[in-house]
Amino acid sequence: MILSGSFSGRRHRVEGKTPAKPGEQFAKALMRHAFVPIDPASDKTRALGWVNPRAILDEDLRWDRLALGPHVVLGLRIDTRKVSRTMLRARLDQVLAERRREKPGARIPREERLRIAKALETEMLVAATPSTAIQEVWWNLPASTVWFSSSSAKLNDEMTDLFERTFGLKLVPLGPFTLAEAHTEAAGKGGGALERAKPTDLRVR
Amino acid sequence: MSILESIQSKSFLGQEFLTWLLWRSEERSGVIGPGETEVHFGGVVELAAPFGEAEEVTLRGENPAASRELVTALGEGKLVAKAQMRWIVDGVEWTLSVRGETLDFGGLKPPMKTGVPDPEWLERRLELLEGFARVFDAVHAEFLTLRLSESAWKSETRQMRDWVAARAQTADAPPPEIVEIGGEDEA
Repeated sequence: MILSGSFSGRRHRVEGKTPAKPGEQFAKALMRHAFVPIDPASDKTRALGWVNPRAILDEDLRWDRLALGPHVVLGLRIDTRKVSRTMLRARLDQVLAERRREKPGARIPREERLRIAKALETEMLVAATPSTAIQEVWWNLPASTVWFSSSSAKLNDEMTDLFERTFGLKLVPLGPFTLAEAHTEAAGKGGGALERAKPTDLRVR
Repeated sequence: MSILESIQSKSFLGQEFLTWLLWRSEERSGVIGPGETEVHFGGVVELAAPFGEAEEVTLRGENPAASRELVTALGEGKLVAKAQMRWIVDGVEWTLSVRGETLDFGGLKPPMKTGVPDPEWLERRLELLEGFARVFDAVHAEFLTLRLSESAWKSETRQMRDWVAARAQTADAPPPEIVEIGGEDEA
């Protein structure tokens, strides 16, 4: 994590111009994309939004509460709930056994079995407690860099998508290509050498 | 070509960076620059053929970089895909792992005592992490300068091949603790 322990994750470059006074503009944007829990009555399985990583239940996302010098530290809360396939199978077997006891010898058509399974899944999903994960996003505004405490491709995609929807700014991962591209631009060279670069054959013959 | 395609098609540059870094570290007793920055590989080193051809090699041990297995894998054209390493920057030691494909950091811990996570402590922590990243990027930029110059990279790769060939003949270091073929690890 960023705020404690060790950091494992990916760095990104922020593309686009950050407003001179981001606090005024971005605080409202943050509130629009703040975390909203899954409605227990819905069949939604995933919810994702911004929180204050230092007080994740605090709904106050004012900029000055998130700022640390030139940085802003955000929390990305991800709630997921799912139904255990094993338990769903067990419940389905139980219901089907009850049906067979009620009407011995009667065949339960496949469509009916699927309908029962779907109804059970919805029932179990509504009763399921979501699991919560918090990832940290640390944005250095003057340096236009973002550190994200996950290397998961899915989470990085979700975070960059939410970041863009919230702030109107794109994130580009700082990986081999983007660092090389920035290097050639900084050196005033064209991108020809980078475009031509092919894997090096280091085999010893 | 879209940026996503470019990112994917040039990801081998990250593996080449780690391979070059390992060679430099072994050649120069760890001293890499800028300044007196040192890099030492240890713990786990994973090697793979570029573009994920089937066989991967995972070496574990105190000094896998000195092993015959590593030299053999490099001689077969494999590159360092992921590695644990120690960086000594201004006399301060950092440990981390780096995955070549993405240059993601793993287990990067700032050299500071656990404290009360007040704003000053947190800001200092962020500054330290960013300071380390600047040194990492400077070393990476040195690699890129060489890598993107046809003549300079030709010279570097010739030296790397010579080093591998020489080590293949002389490597008598004890093998690492565990050698796995075909291992795969999550980031």
